Amino acid sequence: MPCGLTVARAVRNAANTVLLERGVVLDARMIACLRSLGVSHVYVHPDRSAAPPDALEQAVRGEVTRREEHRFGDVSGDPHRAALLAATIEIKVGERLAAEVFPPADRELAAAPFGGVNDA
Amino acid sequence: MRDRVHELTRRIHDLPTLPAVYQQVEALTRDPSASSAQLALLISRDPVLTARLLRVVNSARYALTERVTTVSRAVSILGHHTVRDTVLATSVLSLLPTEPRLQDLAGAFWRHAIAVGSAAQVLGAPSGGPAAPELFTAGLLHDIGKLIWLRFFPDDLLAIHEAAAAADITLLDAELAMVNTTHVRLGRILARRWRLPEVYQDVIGFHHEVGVGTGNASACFVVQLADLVAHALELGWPSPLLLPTVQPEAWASLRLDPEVLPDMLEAVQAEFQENIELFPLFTNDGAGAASDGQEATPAPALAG
Repeated sequence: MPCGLTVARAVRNAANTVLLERGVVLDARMIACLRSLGVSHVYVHPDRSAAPPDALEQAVRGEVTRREEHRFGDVSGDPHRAALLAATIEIKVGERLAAEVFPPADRELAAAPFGGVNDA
Repeated sequence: MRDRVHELTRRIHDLPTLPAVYQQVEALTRDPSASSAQLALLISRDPVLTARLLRVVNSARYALTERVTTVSRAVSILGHHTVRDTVLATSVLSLLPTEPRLQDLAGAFWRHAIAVGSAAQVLGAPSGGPAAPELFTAGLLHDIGKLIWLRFFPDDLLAIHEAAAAADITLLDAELAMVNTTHVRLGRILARRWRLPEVYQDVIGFHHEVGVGTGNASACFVVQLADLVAHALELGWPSPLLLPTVQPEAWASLRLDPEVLPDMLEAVQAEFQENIELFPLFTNDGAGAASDGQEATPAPALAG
């Protein structure tokens, strides 16, 4: 289900929301796919230049890495656990950055349910 | 709290048995002469199960072009075992505490169960072992022993989480240290009492340690790894706790290339979103957890 996997990357920051860049057009198949994943609201990125600053990303990555390395314990000699650790760090860094760059309050302001996708 | 072990074991017998409809459905699925029509008739007498079954069959997983509106059609599409497991999941859900002050705790328990079921589906798919619906149910039920704590001693469950965090040990070690028993042992007793299918009894009883003679070892290993993934992603219990250890044979049994794990985690998250919609803890249609006159319990707070 390549469509579902692609969307999952976008939805993972909230149970029922997806963040879109300005100008993205959702076709019927995409909407059906989003709905099947439990997405009920979409949010349009208000400013594409608002990428997380390098310093912020570094700080978040460092904090997440320290926490996860501790939780996973020694992964040397266990390539599967090491791969799981690396993938978990990437997911959590993505979640944290999204939360930092797009605070919930801002996301609420830009919210629009299906049928009325906003273009803030 | 170490005196709890006898009380916990005794309390297992205070838990309600699974609803009669599950016992009847389970008996029909074991009867080779039973027909889909018999199964459909049984399900259709229960509006909650009817609604759940139709929700499952109309979900994206089955990608049907036309909406299914009858139980008989749902049964023929899903098959007897998936119908049985849907009834089982709904029955277990109905046993979770519904008191408002326990909703965070019950919610974390249920979300973790759904997460492990989802991860088991995804991780087990390439191995050609047990079928995905069976793995989902196995994952869903794996921690059923914690239901005893949740129903009767929720504060103990929280204390175990806090002790594990404070001492920097795994939850399983904290259980042994504090209560001198584990949810695995309690779950094994409960699964036998409920006469669950053998594969689920094995997974519930051995998902933390699969021995040489353990039955259904393949499903046990899948759920052991799924538990690790669910804890890693914190789908359910949000906590900085140490992750559970897994046996080296677990990864070997799945023959998974480590490079596929990032994509698998994405797939686990997608499956989780889908499954949590199919089995929400609290719903307006009565299909979620239902009160059955459970004892009042003090209000614990789930540490984030």
